[in-house]
Amino acid sequence: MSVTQVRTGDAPAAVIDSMGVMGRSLEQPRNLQRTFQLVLATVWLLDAVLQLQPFMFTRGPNGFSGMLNNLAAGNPGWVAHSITWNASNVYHNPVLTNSIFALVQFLIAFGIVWKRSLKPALALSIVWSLSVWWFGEGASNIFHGGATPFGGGPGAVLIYGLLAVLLWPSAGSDLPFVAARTVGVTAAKVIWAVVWSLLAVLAVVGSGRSPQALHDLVAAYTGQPGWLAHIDRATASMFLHHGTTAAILLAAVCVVVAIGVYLPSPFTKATLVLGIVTFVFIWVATENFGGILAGGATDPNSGPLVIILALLYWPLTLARKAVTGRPSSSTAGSKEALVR
Amino acid sequence: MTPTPAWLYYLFAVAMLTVALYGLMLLAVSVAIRRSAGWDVDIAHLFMGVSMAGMFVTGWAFGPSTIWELIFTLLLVWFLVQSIQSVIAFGIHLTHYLIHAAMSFAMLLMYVFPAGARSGAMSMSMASSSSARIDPGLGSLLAVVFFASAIFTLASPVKGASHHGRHSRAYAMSGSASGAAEVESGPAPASAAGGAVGLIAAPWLEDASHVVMCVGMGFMLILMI
Repeated sequence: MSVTQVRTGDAPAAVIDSMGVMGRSLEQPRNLQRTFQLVLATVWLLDAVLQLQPFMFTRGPNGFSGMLNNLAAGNPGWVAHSITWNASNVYHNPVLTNSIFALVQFLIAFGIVWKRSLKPALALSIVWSLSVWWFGEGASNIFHGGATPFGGGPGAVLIYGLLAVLLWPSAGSDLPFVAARTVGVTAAKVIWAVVWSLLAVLAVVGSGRSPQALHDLVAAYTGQPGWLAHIDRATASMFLHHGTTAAILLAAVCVVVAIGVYLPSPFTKATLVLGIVTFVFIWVATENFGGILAGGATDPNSGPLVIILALLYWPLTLARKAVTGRPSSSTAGSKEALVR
Repeated sequence: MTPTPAWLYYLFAVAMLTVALYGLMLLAVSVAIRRSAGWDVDIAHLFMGVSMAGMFVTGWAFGPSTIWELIFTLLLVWFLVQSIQSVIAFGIHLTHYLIHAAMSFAMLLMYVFPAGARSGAMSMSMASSSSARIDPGLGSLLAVVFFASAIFTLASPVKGASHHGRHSRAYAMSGSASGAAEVESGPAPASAAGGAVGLIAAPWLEDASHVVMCVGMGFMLILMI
């Protein structure tokens, strides 16, 4: 049975539509690395558009420069100085600087789309991420113990850079998981373990385990829609009474997820689900979707990025679904479909 | 009053008008060569482009809100019906009509709930009857969907799919519907006509107009939440 014959049936074998999503073909497995690259590009496009919000172009405490200045507080002098220097530049040239910031993010987003510019765009995203982490976010308060994962620590922007590394284009298979395609299985697992171990540490150091600090983190949100404000009140109350317990619990979860990739596949999947569910909760209840729903956000915060990261580690297997419709007798090199 | 920087909003308004003008040109081409596919998207882009330009720049808006609401309601219903028919005809798949339905829905929301407009970012002069605002969650979700559509459309190996869909691509220029086998063969639509008509109906240009519309509409939704 030829491919054409398959596709003249009632159901199309492959569907590529306005979303550009290609339906799973029985002939070729989907290039998941490419799909995740495009998901990353989508997040960058969202960031670029968020950068165009009116307040970003204005001076003063309610403008972008004011937002940057606020991030300097509490940091060591040498960190704070770099932030205030950046804020000063933004203050004096808000339109020019913010236009450049937005343009860079548009370039990254659309650069990832075209394969010819993919590598430069990913490289730019790494440089940009590190720059923003330092000059824009003050290293996400990591130097004074305020980088709890409940608030997005150690910085969502760092995960953009990490995703760029893991999604660096590489020939080969998405097996055994997408993150391993470029850096290899061992390195990918080490990266995973380090990231989640860091999250575990940040959950319990400094103000990360302080009930009052965690309460204030959530209580500070304003302008959220009613349903989210309701969740905020419940979360803030929970933190105030059980903040330390929540921090320790989060650290324990992060440790379990960290070692999960070294366990057999079913356990790996279970720990990945645990990590994803945890960060869905964090994204909604403590990060408030990055503040996007209240306006004035610059990015969706770490929640969705950690979830994307987790999906890159989802164990993949070969399903014996040959294009001919009959069971395949071989594994490697046969026309098989990747299933997740 | 258009907020600072004014050039940004004029830029988006001009881009929206360009998409509208392009939609009009595609409609003319469709009539000229008796093309049967994609005209509904052309009409949608025409209305969306004109109305969104009026949202970005004060003074460019015209027409009563009710008329615009009626137009986008009709477009929404049309694309939903087309989506259902496509699924019935070809089985479960992500039909391109859905994204156009979502865009029509977003336009409708922007007219029904104009009160969320922050900072005078857009005129919204066509609507003043409602003090309600778009649910921020729904607005954000739609914006992200539009951004995803823009990115995945650009990356799609099948050009023009955002306009004609996968299944109707074969008769995009030929004006004749045929079976899925012809769809599979994937004749290049633009190659069927040469010169200016071929350029106007170039699939990559159709995709570009969709991408611009997606980004513009997503930005407007972000401004309104």
